[in-house]
Amino acid sequence: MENIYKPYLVRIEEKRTETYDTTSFKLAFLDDDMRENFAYHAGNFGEYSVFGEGESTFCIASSPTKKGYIECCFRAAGRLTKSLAAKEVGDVIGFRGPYGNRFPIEDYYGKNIVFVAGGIALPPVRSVIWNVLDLRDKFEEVTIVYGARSEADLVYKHELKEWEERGDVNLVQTVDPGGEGPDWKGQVGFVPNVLGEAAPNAENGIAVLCGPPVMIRFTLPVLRELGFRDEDVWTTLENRMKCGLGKCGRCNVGEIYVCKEGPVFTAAQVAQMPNDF
Amino acid sequence: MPHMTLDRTDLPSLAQALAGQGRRLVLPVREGQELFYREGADPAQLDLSTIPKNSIKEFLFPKCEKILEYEYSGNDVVIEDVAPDAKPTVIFCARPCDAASLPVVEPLWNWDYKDKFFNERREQTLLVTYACRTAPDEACFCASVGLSPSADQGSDVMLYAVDDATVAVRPVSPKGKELEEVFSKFKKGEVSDEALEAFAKEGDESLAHRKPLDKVKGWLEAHFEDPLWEEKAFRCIGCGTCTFLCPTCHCFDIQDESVFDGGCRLKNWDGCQFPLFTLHTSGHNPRDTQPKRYRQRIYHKYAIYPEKFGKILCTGCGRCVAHCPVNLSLYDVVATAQERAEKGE
Amino acid sequence: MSDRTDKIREVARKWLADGTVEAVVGWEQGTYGEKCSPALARTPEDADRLLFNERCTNNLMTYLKRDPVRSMAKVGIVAKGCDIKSLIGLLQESQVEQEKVMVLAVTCEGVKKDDGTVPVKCQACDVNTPTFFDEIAGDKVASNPDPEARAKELEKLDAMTQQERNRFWREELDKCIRCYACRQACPLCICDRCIAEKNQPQWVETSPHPRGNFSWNLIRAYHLAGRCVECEACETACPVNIPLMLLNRSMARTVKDAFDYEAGRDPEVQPPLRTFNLDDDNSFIL
Repeated sequence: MENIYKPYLVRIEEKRTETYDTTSFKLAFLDDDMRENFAYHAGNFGEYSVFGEGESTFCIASSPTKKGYIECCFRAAGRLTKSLAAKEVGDVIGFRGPYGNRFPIEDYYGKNIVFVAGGIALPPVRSVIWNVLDLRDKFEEVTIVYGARSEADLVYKHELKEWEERGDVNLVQTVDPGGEGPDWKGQVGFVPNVLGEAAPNAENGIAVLCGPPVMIRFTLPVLRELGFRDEDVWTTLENRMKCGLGKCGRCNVGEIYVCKEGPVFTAAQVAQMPNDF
Repeated sequence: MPHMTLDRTDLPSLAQALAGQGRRLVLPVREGQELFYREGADPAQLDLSTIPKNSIKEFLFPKCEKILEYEYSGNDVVIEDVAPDAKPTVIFCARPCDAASLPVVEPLWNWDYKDKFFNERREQTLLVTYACRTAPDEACFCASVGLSPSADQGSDVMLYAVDDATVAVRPVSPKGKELEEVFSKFKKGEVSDEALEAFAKEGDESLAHRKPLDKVKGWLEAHFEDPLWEEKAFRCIGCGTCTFLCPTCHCFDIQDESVFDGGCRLKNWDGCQFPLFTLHTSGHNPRDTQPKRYRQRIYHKYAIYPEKFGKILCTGCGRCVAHCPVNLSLYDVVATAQERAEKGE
Repeated sequence: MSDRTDKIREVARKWLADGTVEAVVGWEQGTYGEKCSPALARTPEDADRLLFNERCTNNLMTYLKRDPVRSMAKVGIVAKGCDIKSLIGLLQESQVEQEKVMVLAVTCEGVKKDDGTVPVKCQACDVNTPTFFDEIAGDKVASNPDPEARAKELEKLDAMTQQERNRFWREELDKCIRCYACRQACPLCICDRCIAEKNQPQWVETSPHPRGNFSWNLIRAYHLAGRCVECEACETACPVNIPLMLLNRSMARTVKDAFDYEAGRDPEVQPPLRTFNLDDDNSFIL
C-alpha cells in the first residue's frame, strides 16, 4: 500500500525575496514523469517539507496552465517557514499534494471577474489570476485590486508591473495611508475603499477574494453594495492544517474539513460557518 | 445453533495457543490497582475483573510511529519509505467497546486516502473479545451509542462467560471461523443460542439506565454558541487524558526529528484539548479557551463524525468519565444535550 | 465534615453577595462514584453546591493559572493545607498577587484516593489546620505526621544500584504518553508557554518515545525541584500510572539535604534554586 504521508522531492529552481519576510519559490519535481504530468487546479494547496524541521501548508501559487513547475510564496513566521526561507536555489525540499478543492474556473467563463487581495494573500489569488489570464478570451472584464500595508509589503511586484502593462486587465494597486513611498504611483487607501471606487462591473460578476480577516470583513459589504451576490464571491480560508488528508483532526470549521471540502469557499458558505476559525 | 464452551481456567492456555501460531499476544493484566492491556504479558496473569484503563488503540495506532526516513546528501535529500510495524497480533479478551472502536475509525483512516499504517496493523490483528456479562464499571455507557455489553462489532471471535466456570465461544468473522480448530482443542461442552441471548439480556439490563443519545447531534448543530460549554468546561484543565485513553480519538501530530546526517518523520498522538492544536503561526487561535476546545471534542464525536461517516465517534467505554482528574463527565454533557433536545430547549 | 460544608457555603455566599470576590472556586459533588469535582460559584445561589469531604482531592490552586480565574480581579478559593502550600509557592515567585486570592481554608483529616487509599501527603501532613487563610472552615485538627512516610517511599529507589534505577526509570517513563496531565494538574507549572511547547528551537522532543519522555519528565522534575509541595496532583492525574512522586520526592530530599529547605512554608522566603546566598556550599565545585 502507498504511503500517503510520503512527499515528492522538488528542487528550488528560482528563489525571489518578495519582501523583508516573504519569499517565493519556483519548484520542479525531481522525477521527470511528475514534472511533465503533475496536474492540479487553482485553489489547491500542498504540504511543503524541510526534512528535519517539518511541514507547512501553503497554496500552490502558480496556475495549472503553466507546466513543468509549481510555485509557492510564504512569510517566514515560524520554525518551518524560517528554515524554508533559508533554502537556496538547488536545494531539495518535499511537497505533498495537491490537496483540497478548487476554484471552479469553468463557472467563471463569460463573466466579469474582480480579484481582491491584501498583502501576503495575493499568492492564492494569483493562481486564479494566471489561470484566467492564460485563458483570457473566455472571460469578460478582469479587474485586480491589490493592496498592502506599505510598498515594501507588496508581493510579486514584477508581476504587478506585467499586469499593469497588459491592456486587457484593470489593475488597481494601493497601499494603506502612510505606506506610500515618494515614487508611489498607485492609490493610497484601504483595499475595501479602493475597491468601492474602482467599482468593477458586478453584473454577471464573480469576485475572488483573499486577505486578512479584517480586510475580508470590510470588503464583503463593499462587494454586496456593488451588486455581487454572496454565492459569487469566492475566497480561500486559511486554517491550521497538518496532514492535508482529512485525518489529523485539526482543520475543521464545524462540520467542514478545510483540507477536504475547502479551502475554497463562497462567501455564502462562509457566512453559514460557526465561529470556529 | 449450539456454541462450544470451554473451562474458564483454560483461557490462558487458549491465549497461548493463539500466540503460538506466530502472533504477538496482547491481554489485560493487573498492575497495582488497575488493569492494562499489555503486549507480551504472561497469559497466567490474565485478569478480567474489569475494563482495562488503556484501550486497544495503541496496538493499531501507536502513540509514536515512524512514517518516513530521510538522509541528507549535499543539497539533496534521499527519502525512504517505512513499512508499518504490523506483526500478526491477537488481542485476547478485548472488551466489546474496544473492539467496536475499530469499525468506527476505519472510515476515517480510509477517507479517500488510505493510511497503510492503520490498515496493515488492522489486517494483522485478531480480535478475541470478552463480552461483558454486566457493565464492568459505573462509567460505562455503550448502550447509549448503539452498542451493548455483548456487541460483536469489530470482533473476530466472541467469548461469553455464561457462568463462573464456563466460557462460550462464537466466531464472528471469517478470520474467527478459521480458528475453530484451535478453539475446539479446549471444548468441554455446548450451549444454545438461548444461553447467549440470556447473557446479552443481562448485560442490556445492567445499562438500562443509560439513555440513547440519538438527539444530541441535532441539538449540537443548533447550539454552537450555548453557555453550556462555559458552564461545563470550567473544570477542564486541558490535560489530554480523555483524548489519549479514548479508543476512538485519532488526532495526530507530524514531527520531524533529525541528527546531522538525516532523521525521521513521526506520527504522534495529539489532541484537540491542547491549546497548541489549532494555534496559527500568526498567533490567532480559533479555539483559544478551554470551553471552545471542549466543545470541539463533543462536536467531533457526536455531530461532525456522524455527519461525515454516519457513526458516533464514541463507543461508550466510559474511560473519559472514570479517569478525568476533575470528573468532567462526557456522558453528563451529552446526556444534558439529549435532555434539552427532548424538552425542545 | 458537614460543619465545614456549611461554613464554606456561608462564607462563599457572603463573599459573593457583597462582591468581595468575583467567584469562588471550590468542590461540588461529582458524578462518578463518590468523587468530588472542582466547581466555580459565581452567585450566592451557586455557593450552595459547594462542599467538603474526604474525596475533595484536587488541588484547586491550579485554576489560578487558567481562565476565567486568571483574569479575575479577586477570587475565593477553598483550600486544604497542602493546597495552600502551593499558593505560598506562587506568592514566593510573584506569580499571583496576594490581594487577588481570598483563601477559604478547610481543616482536614486527610483525603482518600479513588482506590480508597490514603495518600502519602496525608500520612505526612502537618498542615491539617492551615495557618495561612482569610477564613477557615472546620474545627482544629491536630497534626500527627508520620515522620517516615515520605522517606519510606524512597527506600525502594535507595535500594537500587544506579543501573537498576536507570532501568526502572526508563521502563516507567516509557509508559508516558505526553498527555501533560501532570503539568496541567500542577499548580506550580505556570509557564505561559511550556518549554515542551517551544519549537524555535525545539528544546524538548514532543514525541512520546523513550528519549522524548525521559527529556520531558526529567526537565519537569528539575523545574519543580525546590518548588514542588508534594500535593500529588500530578501522580493522581497521570493516566498511565507513572510514579511521579518518587521523582519529585527524591528531588525534594536532595533540596532539603543541600539547602535545608522545604517548599511552600514561608511566603517571605525564596526557593533555593531561585536565589543565591553568599554562604552557599561551594565544596562540590572543587
